[in-house]
Amino acid sequence: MQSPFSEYTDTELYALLRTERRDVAFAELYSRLSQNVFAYTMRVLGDRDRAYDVFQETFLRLYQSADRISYLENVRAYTLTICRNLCLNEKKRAQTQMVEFDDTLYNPGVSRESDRQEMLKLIHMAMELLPHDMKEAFVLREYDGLTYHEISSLLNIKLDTAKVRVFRARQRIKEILEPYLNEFTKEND
Amino acid sequence: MPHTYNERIHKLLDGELDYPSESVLFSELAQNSELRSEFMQLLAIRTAVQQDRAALIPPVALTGSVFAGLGIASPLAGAAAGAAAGAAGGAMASTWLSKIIVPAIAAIAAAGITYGITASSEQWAASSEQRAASSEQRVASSEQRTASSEQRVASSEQRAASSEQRVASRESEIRRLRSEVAMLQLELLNALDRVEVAPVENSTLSEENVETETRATPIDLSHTITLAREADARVIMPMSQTPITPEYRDYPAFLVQFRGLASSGLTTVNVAPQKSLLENANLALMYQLSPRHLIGFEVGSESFPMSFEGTRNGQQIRYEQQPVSTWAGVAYRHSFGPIGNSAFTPFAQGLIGGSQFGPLGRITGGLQYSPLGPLTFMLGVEGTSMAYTHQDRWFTSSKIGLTYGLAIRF
Repeated sequence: MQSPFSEYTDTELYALLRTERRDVAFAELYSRLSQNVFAYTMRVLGDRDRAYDVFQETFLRLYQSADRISYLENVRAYTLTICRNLCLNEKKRAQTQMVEFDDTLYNPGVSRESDRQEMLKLIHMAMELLPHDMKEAFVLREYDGLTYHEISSLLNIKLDTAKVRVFRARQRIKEILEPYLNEFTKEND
Repeated sequence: MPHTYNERIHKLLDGELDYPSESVLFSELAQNSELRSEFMQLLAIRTAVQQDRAALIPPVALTGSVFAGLGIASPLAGAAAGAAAGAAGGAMASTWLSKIIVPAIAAIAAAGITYGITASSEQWAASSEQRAASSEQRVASSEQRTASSEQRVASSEQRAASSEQRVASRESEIRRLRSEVAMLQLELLNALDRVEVAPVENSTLSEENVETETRATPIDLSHTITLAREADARVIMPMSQTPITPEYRDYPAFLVQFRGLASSGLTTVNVAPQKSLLENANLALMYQLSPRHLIGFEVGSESFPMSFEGTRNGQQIRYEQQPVSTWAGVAYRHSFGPIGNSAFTPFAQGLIGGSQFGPLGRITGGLQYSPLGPLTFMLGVEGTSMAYTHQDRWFTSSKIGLTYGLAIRF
């Protein structure tokens, strides 16, 4: 069974936030955007509690923004912009580098195969070692599936800069994980 | 046009490599083991990240917090079911489920309760009047019975008095007759004194020949007196009446019960339970069929620890969640009668119903305490098991804990 709003675009759903059907429209928008926002907050902030706070605040602001904004072309980009700004504020506030992160309790969906778990942990650690701008571009590209155009628009950078950041992020992660990846690829050959 | 093979690999991963460049890259990959190794490494990272991304689903509790923070109806259980179904977009179906069916159940329950309470304002009043009238009738009836008993007592007393009068009368007659007998005896003695002795001829007295003529007035002693005393004393027994025992005093009756739960899941999960306003609380409306048997309808809301597995994109995935679900069902309660003369009554209850996720069964055992009036307190232990499906596989969520509550009869 599908929602009667499943055929609506994000823009139409956002417009419905100004009507009496706001609750259902918001639920549909939430179902479409929550995974993107969650992945961004978890992987960019690297801290569960702060990620949860930012996640909640993002949707609160999105919902409230409908009172001020009547038309929004790209709701996903706007939502991620809110999320990004909140993450930046959070990082400034905390001013700590979160290297250690164990989300196995809150990320139970991953297969329990030990090598994959280990691989994920290493990737998380490698991501934490990336400069923030690289990590952000990488998360938006790899986790949120944004195009380079969307990333450049969201981060307010040039298209090539967005591509370079993602490229460098991948390369850095690969370099950090190279010893492990060599073994991993050999085992899987 | 990419300048290096490395850049071409990245373009390929991004899906932006054109066909001619792709052919060139594949040719190079076939020959260059170092490049192939780099490609494999980047591919491994991409695969791991995709797996990580697929598993990054907002927990149900977090979703609940978002909607609770906005003060709007939460699609939590629906979202959870949607997540369980493996598609965030599919959450809307469950959202509607939670938005329509749950409120409908709640509305029906609330309507029933409201009706039970408001309508019972009239019914309550009427019932109270009826009860008052009934009580008055019972009082009047008791008074009548008491009056009747008193009448019978009075009648018995009258009969006793009458008997005593009769006895007194007979005794008086006896005394009179005795005095008559005494008088007759006295006359007899006098008559004997007046006996005439005939002269003795031949101056010889022979005792043997002496004939004495006695003339006496015949006394009629044919009077016989029969005392008609009661053979045994009459025992005036109070009229036998069936006592109104406490269990019948309250029968039949409706009962509204509100109770809370303090339970812990037998299914282990690592996520915090979702919070909601009426979590772990339930409401029941029950009807007393007889002093020992009650049936009713119970509705409640509580979190269920759920741990289940499924596949998504060919990967085995384990899900954990603790959503709050509304449940409802029909209940049967058996009361074992009061312990001695105390106000404590042990009971056992079974419930069969369903939640938003699947069928549900519940067993409760405990004590009821009815110290005064229509109030009853209860405390017991409870076991609950709920079944649910995911990808055509059945899973169960079980809980055990304490329950405590308050019930009002009307």
